[in-house]
Amino acid sequence: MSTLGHRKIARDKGLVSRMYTTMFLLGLLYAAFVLVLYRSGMSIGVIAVIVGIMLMVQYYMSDRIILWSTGAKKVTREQEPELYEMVERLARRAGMPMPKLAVVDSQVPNAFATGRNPKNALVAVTTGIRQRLTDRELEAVLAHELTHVINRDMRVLAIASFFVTVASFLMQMFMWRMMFGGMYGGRRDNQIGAIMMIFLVTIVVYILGTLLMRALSRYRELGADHGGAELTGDPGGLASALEKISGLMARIPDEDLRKVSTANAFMIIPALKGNNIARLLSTHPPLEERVARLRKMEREMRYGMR
Amino acid sequence: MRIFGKGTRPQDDWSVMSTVVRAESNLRAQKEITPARRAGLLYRPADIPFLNSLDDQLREILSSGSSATKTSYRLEEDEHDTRWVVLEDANFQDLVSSTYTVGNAMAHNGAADRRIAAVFEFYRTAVSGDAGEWSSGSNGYWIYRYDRQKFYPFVPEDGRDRNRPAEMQISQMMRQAGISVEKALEEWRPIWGIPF
Repeated sequence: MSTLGHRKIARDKGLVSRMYTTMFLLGLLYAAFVLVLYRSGMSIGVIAVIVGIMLMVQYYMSDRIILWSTGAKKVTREQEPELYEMVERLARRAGMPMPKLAVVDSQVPNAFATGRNPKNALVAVTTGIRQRLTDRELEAVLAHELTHVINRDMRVLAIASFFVTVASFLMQMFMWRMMFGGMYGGRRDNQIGAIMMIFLVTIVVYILGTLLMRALSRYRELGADHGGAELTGDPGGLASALEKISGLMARIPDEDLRKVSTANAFMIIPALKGNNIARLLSTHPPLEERVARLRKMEREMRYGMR
Repeated sequence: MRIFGKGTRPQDDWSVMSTVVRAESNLRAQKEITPARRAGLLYRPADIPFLNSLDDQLREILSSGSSATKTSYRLEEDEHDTRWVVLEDANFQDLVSSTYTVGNAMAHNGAADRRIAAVFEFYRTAVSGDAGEWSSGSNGYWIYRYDRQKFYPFVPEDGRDRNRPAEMQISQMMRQAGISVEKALEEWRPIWGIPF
């Protein structure tokens, strides 16, 4: 895998992947829980109600779950006047109510938004991102996050996540019927193996669902780039913020070309293309693609070029 | 005498270098950067007859073309023990073609691997508000590395600093305009103290 791939993963290992890991584990917990309920002889109807309640709780508590899993602290206008007013300005321009604002004490430059609708939104930034970005870039990042809220991306992903859960639940049911309803009926020595099998299949379904959700997430991400850039009217701001956050720019060296040995000059090693798996797992489209789209948009806005 | 066996090089320098010529009109339309009239060929000196008599050789090469270009040149030494052929021509296409010709002549006379880079100056003609404080009228460079056969931007800033945001932005523009840009950012090595 190329260094770029590593960097991307390292970047995602920060906040976003902690959020996803939390959600993923929660989902697995559900699956295990349902399995236990079912084995204890509870009827499917009752289980459905219980699962429904749990999902509702997760849906309505998601901002708290995320605050907890990322260690974000809510801040008020008094605590962070500049940041608060920046978000307030953008929210007003976007015609949405002022979201809750939180700061994560972390050197990893990142930002995220959550909330099921614009009335219950939360936008968070890390201390690291504030140090590294100019106001113009920070504003672009905040506009991107607010666009996620306006587009109701959390809801879209929550619904997708719900379908993934249902799919894995149905798969479980199907497997139970197959293994215990028919030929294996009642033979205890086979049961433990069968339960393991069912749980494995559940995990596989869940992983497939997660991959699909990540594809959806990448798509929504491009949407938020576009909408955010329209909100600020400045696609270049987001492009340069992305370049900065990603650490891409830090790879441009300081050491003079004349000091480089040219012994291996003509043995150009082709760039590795082992990035596909990282791409599949990634919740965000490749940075180069996002920046290129934004720069194109910038030129179109400036010159009306197509 | 040819130094290279057939097929040792992935492609010839002209096929890459000429991308800046073709990109010129595209870049002018964008109005942000304009190629300037100066270029330089950076090389390591060596005890090779062609390099020892470079001044005479260049006079001949640059004035012998059938439609002789108006490219003027001068030779410079820098503090890194490397040398420059600094070329000047108001016509950008001629400037690039003369620079290529000088490099090509070196290659055909035993100095192919003494060549380090061809450097083309450009001006920033409009300010998009991006890329920090890089103001209109300031200059930057496209560096063509002979070992990698790719271009990348270099925007030095007072002394030993470089404007990375501006370079990132310019590299996008270059790509868009069809210039063959070095993908590995680690290879965007600066050349400090360019003598033009």
